[in-house]
Amino acid sequence: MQWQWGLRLLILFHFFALGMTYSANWQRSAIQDNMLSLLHPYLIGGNWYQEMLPVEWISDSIGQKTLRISIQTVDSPQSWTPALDSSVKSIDQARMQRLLHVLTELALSEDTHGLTKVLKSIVLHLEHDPVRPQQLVGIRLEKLSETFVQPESESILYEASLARFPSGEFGFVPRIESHRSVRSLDSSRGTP
Amino acid sequence: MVNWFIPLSPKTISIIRIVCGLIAAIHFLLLLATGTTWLGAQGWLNVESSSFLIGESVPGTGSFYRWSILFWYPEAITWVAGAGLLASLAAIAGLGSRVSTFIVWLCLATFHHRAPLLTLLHEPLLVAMFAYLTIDPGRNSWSRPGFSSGTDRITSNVATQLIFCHLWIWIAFSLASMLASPLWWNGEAGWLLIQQGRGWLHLSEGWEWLGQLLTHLTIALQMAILCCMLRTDWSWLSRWMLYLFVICVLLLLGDWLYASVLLAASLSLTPNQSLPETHHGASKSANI
Repeated sequence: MQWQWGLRLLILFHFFALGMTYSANWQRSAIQDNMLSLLHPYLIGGNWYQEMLPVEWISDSIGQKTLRISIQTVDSPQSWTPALDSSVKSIDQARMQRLLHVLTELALSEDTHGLTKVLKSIVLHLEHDPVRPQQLVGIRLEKLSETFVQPESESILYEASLARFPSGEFGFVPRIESHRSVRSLDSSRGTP
Repeated sequence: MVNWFIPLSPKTISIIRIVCGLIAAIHFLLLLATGTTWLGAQGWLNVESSSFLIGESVPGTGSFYRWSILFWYPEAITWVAGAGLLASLAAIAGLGSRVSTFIVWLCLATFHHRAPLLTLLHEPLLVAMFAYLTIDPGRNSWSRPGFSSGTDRITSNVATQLIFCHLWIWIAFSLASMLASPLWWNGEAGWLLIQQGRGWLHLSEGWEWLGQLLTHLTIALQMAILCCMLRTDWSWLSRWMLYLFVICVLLLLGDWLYASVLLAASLSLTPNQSLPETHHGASKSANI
């Protein structure tokens, strides 16, 4: 019957597109890229795109590490308080781990622009927290080993002070002392 | 060889719909509790940063096709999650048929398009299953005696086979992504997951061998499932191995929602799918 052949072709097309999407997630050729771009309306519009891949169970770049975002607030500018921690058990722990994973990948690939975009969202969230709003003066992303003590400079992936502008906007001023081989004599962190 | 175009009892697809509906209801309940904190106007990942991550206005990223209403109305999260929850409950009860399963798919996809990088392990498979359930959600739970939805249908067969094929591709690429990492070859992956304390298995030093064993078992089971799924008369074997794989998921990852979705998908591995091809004549009287 004709409709059966039509349906068969549709099913073949669907699984062909799906297979190509999944196989392109890790590495892809130019021809795959072109085909995927051509199929974007179906794949993305129909919600079949590559983020739908099985997310890896464990990441090589993170391994046995706890990811954490710590903050310094106006009330306690010298101490670091954990704001997001991948090891803290909660109902949305998995989503928190995903966000920290994305941030870590951005930091490791040295995409500072992307990293600060997402960190800005996190700062805004913390500053507008309806239960405990706090004004931040510093933020850092850490990758902590659970098995051995690391020097601080090795665990910090990104650290920045928050620079406030008269308009109410803010920006990030990266702190680089922690990555120096020789520490500066003045141990207090510089503020913008 | 399985014939996709012979009528099949909607019993299997109905059970899949009920199990998926339960999982989706839990998923939407969690989103009702935490969705605004994550994706609201002042959420952890606001619209601006999310748009950046999907590559908005960058040529070739296809961000134009991400159609989530949550980009324009972030505060609609509660409404979308609420609608998804109601539609999931309707899907469990067998009310609304294709409409309820379509609404569940729509709500799941709305969240996915808004923040694809925050997609969890269970979501891709769940949303795909709802897309297939829209073709045929099976019969109503409380259908009246003699109600036509109880008869065998070709669409029941097609929907079940689509879930079956999707599951096969899913496991194949899950396996491929694992094998791309040396951690799954040298046996460290299982031990690292145990050390992270994500799964149900908590072990101290000295039990590394068990972590390695579970790593190799996870890989071997996926390979075996893929092979057995190719033979319809071995569907019972692939189902049992999938149950073992689910146990590995729980021990190493502790992701019970992902385990539940896998169990729901495993229902498509039923002996029903290997109906003889001699049923061709029956398709003439089938409901489509």
